[in-house]
Amino acid sequence: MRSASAKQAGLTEELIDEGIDNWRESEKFSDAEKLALEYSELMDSEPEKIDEAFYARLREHYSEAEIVELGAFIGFNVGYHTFFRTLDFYPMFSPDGRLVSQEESRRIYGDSPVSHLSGPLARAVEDGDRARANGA
Amino acid sequence: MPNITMLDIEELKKTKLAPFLNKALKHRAPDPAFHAMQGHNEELAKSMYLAWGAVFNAGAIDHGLKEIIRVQLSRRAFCNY
Repeated sequence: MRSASAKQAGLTEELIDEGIDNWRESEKFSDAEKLALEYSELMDSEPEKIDEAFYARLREHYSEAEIVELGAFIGFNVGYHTFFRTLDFYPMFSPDGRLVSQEESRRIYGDSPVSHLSGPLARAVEDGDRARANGA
Repeated sequence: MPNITMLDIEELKKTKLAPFLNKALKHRAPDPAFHAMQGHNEELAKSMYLAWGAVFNAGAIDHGLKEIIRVQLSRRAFCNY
């Protein structure tokens, strides 16, 4: 389930997928946004590449206060998602915003995380329709 | 089955985590599993929720960009979200 305020501000699943899978070539993101997405990828997998030159690039688009905000947010989420993965639970919210059991969530989301548009959202809507038809 | 017991949401609403859990339910983020897992340690869950909210919901960086990064990092960690 996505942040309600982000969705209200216009964030779509299509844009999320574009930002994850195609940000380098995408025309939907500014240079500053692309750099933030690169920062995040590198922090996760190749932090040794985030050097003085990289921070100089960041300073071309962001104040140092903003860099600290972005870096703390990324670091927080690298850690949290790594920790949560080891706990082996599934989201309690389905992609269509229902609170669901772990059994249903596992069925909706599948074995590994994918775009919500690649099956999870359709499965969630189908389950919701079925539950409403059964009077749940 | 999760490697730590997931606490019941209705039971958590009877604890000091209630205002934070209700806010998460309203804003759809973080997933209530955040509290269902960390609620075993209420003080820590409260502190981490407040810290998480400070970096996610406040500041100068666009909130939508942060949400994209959040999903990006969850997929890279093979964490379903």
